[in-house]
Amino acid sequence: MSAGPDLSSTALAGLDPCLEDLESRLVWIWGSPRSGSSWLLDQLAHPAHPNVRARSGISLLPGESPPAGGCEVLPVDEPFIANHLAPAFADPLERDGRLEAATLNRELAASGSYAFSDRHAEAWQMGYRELALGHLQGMIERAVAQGLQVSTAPILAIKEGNGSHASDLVMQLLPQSRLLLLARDGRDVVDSLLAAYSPGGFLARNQGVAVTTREERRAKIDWAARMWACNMDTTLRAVERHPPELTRIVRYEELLAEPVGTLASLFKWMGIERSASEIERLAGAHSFHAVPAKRRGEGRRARSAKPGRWRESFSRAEQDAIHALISAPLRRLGYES
Amino acid sequence: VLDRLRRRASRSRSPHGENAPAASADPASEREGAAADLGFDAARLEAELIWLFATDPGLGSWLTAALTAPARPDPGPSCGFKLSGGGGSVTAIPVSRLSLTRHLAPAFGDPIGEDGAELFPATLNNYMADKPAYLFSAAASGRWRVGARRLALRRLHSTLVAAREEHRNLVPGLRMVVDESTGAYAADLVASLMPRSRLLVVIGDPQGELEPLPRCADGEGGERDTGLHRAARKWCCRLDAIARAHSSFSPERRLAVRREELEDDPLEAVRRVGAWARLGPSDERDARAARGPEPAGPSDGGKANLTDIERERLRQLTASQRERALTLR
Repeated sequence: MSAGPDLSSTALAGLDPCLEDLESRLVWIWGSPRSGSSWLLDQLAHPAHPNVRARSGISLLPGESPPAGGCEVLPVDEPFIANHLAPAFADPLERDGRLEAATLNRELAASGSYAFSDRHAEAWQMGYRELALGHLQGMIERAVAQGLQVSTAPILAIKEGNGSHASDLVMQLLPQSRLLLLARDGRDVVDSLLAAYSPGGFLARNQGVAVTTREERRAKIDWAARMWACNMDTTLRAVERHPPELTRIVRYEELLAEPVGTLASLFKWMGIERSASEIERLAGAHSFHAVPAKRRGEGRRARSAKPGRWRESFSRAEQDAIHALISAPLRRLGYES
Repeated sequence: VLDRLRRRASRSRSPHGENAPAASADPASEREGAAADLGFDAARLEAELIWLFATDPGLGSWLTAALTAPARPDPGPSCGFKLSGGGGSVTAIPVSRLSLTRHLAPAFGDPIGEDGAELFPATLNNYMADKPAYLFSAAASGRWRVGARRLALRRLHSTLVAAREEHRNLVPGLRMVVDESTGAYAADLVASLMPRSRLLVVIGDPQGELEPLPRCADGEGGERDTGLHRAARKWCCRLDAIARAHSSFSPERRLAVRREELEDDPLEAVRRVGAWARLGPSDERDARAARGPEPAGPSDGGKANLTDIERERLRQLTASQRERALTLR
């Protein structure tokens, strides 16, 4: 997908100063579903956590107190800002050897009458920046109004994995914010999605569609592999274009193996002070083993936290089919393929 | 989800439709917020907009082109249209396939609700509105409604500026006919954002509009039946959203036109719409209108697509929406 024209200086200027300041306090977590992004979000925002029952969508974890000075990081769990900016109407398409999202923008960007036309970029960029930043500022205000103690300039950690097909467009619109790509071995992502859609899996239950036949299994594997490759290609493109000091790539496997060191590095990058003991405590509180036994296991959101399960799950032919779709981004992310 | 959507739709149906779906508790401050610091007269621009939603996008395109003659929608130029002649007689310009609605409310599945009842589109908005973090959440409607209005007004102003740059002799006070028929399933959302503009809805007959559709889906028997059922529900969903939008607008700012009016006497029908939209008389418009729209129905010389049984099924599936359509004026 074309990332569109560069953000114009006019679109960048003229914002409410309050919103402009907010932009530099945003951390966008991109990647793909089933990559541990909820887990990472919980750790970065601890002791705050996403809560759909709270008016702001944010509350304190039960039994936790806010730090002196208030919560420094607030979680934003899937605002779908990317999905409205670039709605995808079909599965990713192959183009020049890469998988690209089939978005309205890609189809219509050249049309002068299209709302998000390249030729009217200044107008829609300014408008969409304002819409997105206004929403995020509103979340902070609602959190404060509901009684949450929040620091004077909180960071918002935004989990937007399901919108990663448009991560390049969002980062281009908000160039002063931080980009965090949480990568996970695509083969494990495909395996995890397949498990979630298997009979009894949580996505099969939620969406009422389970994978039961061989044909459905093949189609789901193909869809998941394409979606992962598209998300990675797009976000890696965004990484290349974003200021290096505002960009980080973290691998799920590293976070799992070395949670304290990985989190310490991330907090430092975000400008948040956390002692080693604090990080150790929060990493322990959110570890796989801290999830109550009845809420983890096969078919649950917290499935196994074991990298490499794809080797057992897929036949040789299935592995070959997956590799044919995802080997390039796998290699770019440093995975053996 | 369905219960919430029904409650919201029911709230929106006040006698004069003053409370649009998901309307803000403070529409006045919302309008002010939406106009502040935009750098142009946003209230005037909003008043010059005519939002057009048709049950059949093809018919919406035809009426847009007729109303805005001698301009002709064209995706090539930045302004989105070309002019035949000098342009001095242009009183309205087309904004065709803006597709803003498809961004404000992306749809990804079949409509929600039971056959024969009011249907709602399977949009991200309808599924996610209860999540406070969601961009278009119910909890944050005061925010996003201002933001979405400002986005729309900025973008349409940009078209107006491009039109004036590309066609120097356009008259002041141009109307803009914004054809959003491809997003008709969410007409109520857009209409609720722009209460000071005009709303033009174009209603067709599902028998004619859906006759060619099953051809698009291969297959026979059950598969064909599923395709017809789905197409009928989508038509009903569009009609329901259009009707909700219509009921939310004040009577003097809304107008419903029917396909049969446009087919039976296109010149008179387009003149009636033009007068309502304060477009003034136009020979070019009359000339384009007089040719009339393509008739709905089978496109291959009258050969029927649907069997009698299928037509009867279609009639049953769309019965309550057809009845509802009759109430729109």
